[in-house]
Amino acid sequence: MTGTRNYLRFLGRCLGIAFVGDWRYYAWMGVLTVICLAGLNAYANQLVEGLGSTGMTDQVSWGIYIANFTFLVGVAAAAVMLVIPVYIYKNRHLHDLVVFGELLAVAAILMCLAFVTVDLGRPDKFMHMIPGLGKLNFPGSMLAWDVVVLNGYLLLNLHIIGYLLYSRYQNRYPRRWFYIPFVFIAIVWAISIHTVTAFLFVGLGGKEFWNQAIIGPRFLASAFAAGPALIILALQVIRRVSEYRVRNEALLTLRSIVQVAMLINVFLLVCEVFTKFYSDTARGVSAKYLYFGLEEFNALVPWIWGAILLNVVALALLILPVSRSLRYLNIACVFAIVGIWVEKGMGLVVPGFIPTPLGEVVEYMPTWNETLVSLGIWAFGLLAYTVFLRTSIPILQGRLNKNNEHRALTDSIEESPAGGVEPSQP
Amino acid sequence: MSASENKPDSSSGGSMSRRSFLRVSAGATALTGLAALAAGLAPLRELSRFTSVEKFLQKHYHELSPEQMKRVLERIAREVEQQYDLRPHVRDLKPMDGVEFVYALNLSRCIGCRRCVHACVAENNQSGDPDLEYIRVVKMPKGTFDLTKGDHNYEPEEVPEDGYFYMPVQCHQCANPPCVKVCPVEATWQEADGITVIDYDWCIGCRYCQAACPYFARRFNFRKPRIPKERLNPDMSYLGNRPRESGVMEKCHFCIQRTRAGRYPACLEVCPTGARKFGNILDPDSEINYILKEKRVFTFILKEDQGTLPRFFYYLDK
Amino acid sequence: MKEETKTAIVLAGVAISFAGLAVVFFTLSAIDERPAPRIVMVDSGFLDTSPVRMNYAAMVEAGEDIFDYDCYLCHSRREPVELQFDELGGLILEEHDYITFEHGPSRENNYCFNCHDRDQLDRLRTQYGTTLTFEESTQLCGSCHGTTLRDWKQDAHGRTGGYWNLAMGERTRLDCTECHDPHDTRFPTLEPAPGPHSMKNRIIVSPENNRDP
Repeated sequence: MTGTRNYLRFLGRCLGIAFVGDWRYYAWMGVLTVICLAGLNAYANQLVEGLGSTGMTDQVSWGIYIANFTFLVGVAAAAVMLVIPVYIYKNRHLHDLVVFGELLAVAAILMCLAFVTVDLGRPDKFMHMIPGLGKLNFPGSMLAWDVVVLNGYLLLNLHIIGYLLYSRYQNRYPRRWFYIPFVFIAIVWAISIHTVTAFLFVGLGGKEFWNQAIIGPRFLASAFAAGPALIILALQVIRRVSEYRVRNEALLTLRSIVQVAMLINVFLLVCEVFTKFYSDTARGVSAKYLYFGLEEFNALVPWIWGAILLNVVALALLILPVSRSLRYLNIACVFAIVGIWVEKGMGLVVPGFIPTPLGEVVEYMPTWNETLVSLGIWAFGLLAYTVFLRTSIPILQGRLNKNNEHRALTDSIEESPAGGVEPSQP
Repeated sequence: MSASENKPDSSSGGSMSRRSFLRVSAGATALTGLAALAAGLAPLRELSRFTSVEKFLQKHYHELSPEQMKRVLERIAREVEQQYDLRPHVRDLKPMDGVEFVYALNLSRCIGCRRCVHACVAENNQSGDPDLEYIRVVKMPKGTFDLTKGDHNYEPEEVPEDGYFYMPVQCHQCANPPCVKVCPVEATWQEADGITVIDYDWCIGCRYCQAACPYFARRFNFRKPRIPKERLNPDMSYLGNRPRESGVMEKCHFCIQRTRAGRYPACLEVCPTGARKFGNILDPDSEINYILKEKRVFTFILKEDQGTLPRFFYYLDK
Repeated sequence: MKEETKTAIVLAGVAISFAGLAVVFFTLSAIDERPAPRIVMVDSGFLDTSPVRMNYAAMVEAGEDIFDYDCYLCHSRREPVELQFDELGGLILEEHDYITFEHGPSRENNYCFNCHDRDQLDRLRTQYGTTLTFEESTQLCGSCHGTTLRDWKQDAHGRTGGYWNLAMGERTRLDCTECHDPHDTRFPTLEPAPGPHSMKNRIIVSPENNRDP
């Protein structure tokens, strides 16, 4: 009973802290909330009008929602790139940063679930997917697999992070058996969420653009580049706005991960482009549309070449020693993230539908309403990640723990010595 | 965040007024935030008919008892009557024993007049606005089966045009349907007579089946379908032509409300050239059996490698 | 400026943005009172299931004027008709020049007495000498087009309607001459019904969704 009460009080204090901060915090959260509300309003419009308020058609029936979903599953999976070095190779630099990576994974999964939900024509029937209440077509449908692995990954991460943070809050050493096995399950699971998401596309025999084995490896490579790149940027923000110490060595370790992943990603891209174009068969018509356009239809051409340019520049920067300086590393990361977002989102989802199985070419552009919904979900994800960081940093620093729970909310943070870290995290 | 950790000076009077300003601001933020939330959700008040408790709690087609199905059919009839002032005849026709439907289309007869497209729309209560059709007729230049060379939007004065042939495409009712496999909620399945059906009340609208179909046969209701009252076909079937709602899939079901009552599909009856043939392949005396035995029959060229085993064949007779 | 003041100003700014958002949302969500635009449906002529042409039997049944089939209004029973040819060997049609002769590619296919009985102009006559009425024309066609007749008997050639399941109802089928003009046998060209989305109501569908090529 006291256990439950303690836990609830812990949650209450975490929630309370999310509303406390300086003016910059409020400004940031305010801006995100405004975007979030705009997205919510756009979604309300979509519910009333139907998916006709989006740019999607019978011909191109998935658009920017599924594109973002695909990208974000990759970001979520990329948390393993912090976990593997720490738990398998005992890397010390990344040790304390694992939590931030896993929190990013949780935020990314929440965004994924939101993107899938807004893509549904009948979200009111969501419970048809819940085993028992509905009829989840498992293991037949890859989408059912995706529902299972994404929710499973969310639960795994919530358990691991929740347990570690709560232990730290209570000034206890976490019991290894209670989380280490889950860490290893989560490593495999992270690979699986992105593989399953790739299989979602790969499994469709009618879409020659997707129906290739290389899509899975490409998904993982691009995810392991974009995810850690995002974490590099996040860590620097954390370092600036909080007193949490993030060492340059940690950032440089992540740099080498992004470097290798980006190298593999670009290599796989070259493999794919070669296969599509050198043989010059009539089959690669979707790829032709993507890279060069079909007659007057060429909406994606500037996007994909822009993405390739960004990827190549990012790769060059990452390989050169110049990116040991944080400024260039940051540029490389931003380029890699944007490049991969375009290449894997719009560049993968949309051309799969063009031309249609009956040879018709109908182009896709997201509408305003659709863009607002997407921005709203991104803002919601950033909001969630900010709240996660806002609560977890004081806990990791020991400023928010059981010993100071009787003090006022704000004071509890302000009065405890900064960086007073007691039991170090295993 | 770090800035907030400066110890606040709470002794001076100026600080008190700042504190109250802060409180007022915080309160105002909370209030306006709630107002913005409420206003943001305001469009939803138009959603009153989005769903009903009855529909929300309805079970999967395969789990409905006969009494429950009766109530469901009554609900549908009631809803249709409310919307269209017309009492429909809604049934749930089951597959017949010893019947497997097969369709065959004679490419040497089709003249591309598109009457099948519109007979289908009328029979199956497809939305007129936004317009939705199950059948696509592709005008192909002679000498190729490369569909990217086809034209879907031909509008000459008269058809057929010299140098072209016409290829209508609709649901192929595959024996190995990729669309059924991918549905995450089993809202679409293959019936014993070979028709792949959709339970419109169960579909969640993820459109995965649409991505999986190699024949561009599935259609999504991107908006609330609209049908003029005078064009509503009151002879309805649960898995067939009852009016659909926004956000669900639909597709050709071989006019289940007609064919399970022994009649020909609407697209066949309207075809002026008799290019369309339909029947029970298990009946050795049926015309469809005769055609499959006697004619140069093939399935959708270029798509045969999909392994979908269609029940929709094309053939040539001269 | 004190941190607290800054915080308060930021919060006030956020509050103002929220209020602004609320106003914008509320204005945008005003319910559209305009009546829904008329739903454009295809001309019901395209849904007509009647045959493309009326043959003799159908005209009789419908009570149509069949003077065109009453050969002896002009011809005489006592004077058998002789075919006349021009120098190039073409048939001279005289009063029948409104008839297009396109019964197959060769001239020999288009001689009147291939099908009409020379001695009884209001009868038909097969190549085997059987005499038939105009109502029995299908048998005449079948006397040359045997494989087509076989297909037709199996309902595999030509238009059918009604019931595929004969145990549940009747099937209609058409005679040859309800689709084919015996003198010009090619199936007639027709006006095509509207193509996909060409009837799209352009009022309710916003332009950005109306992007069909």
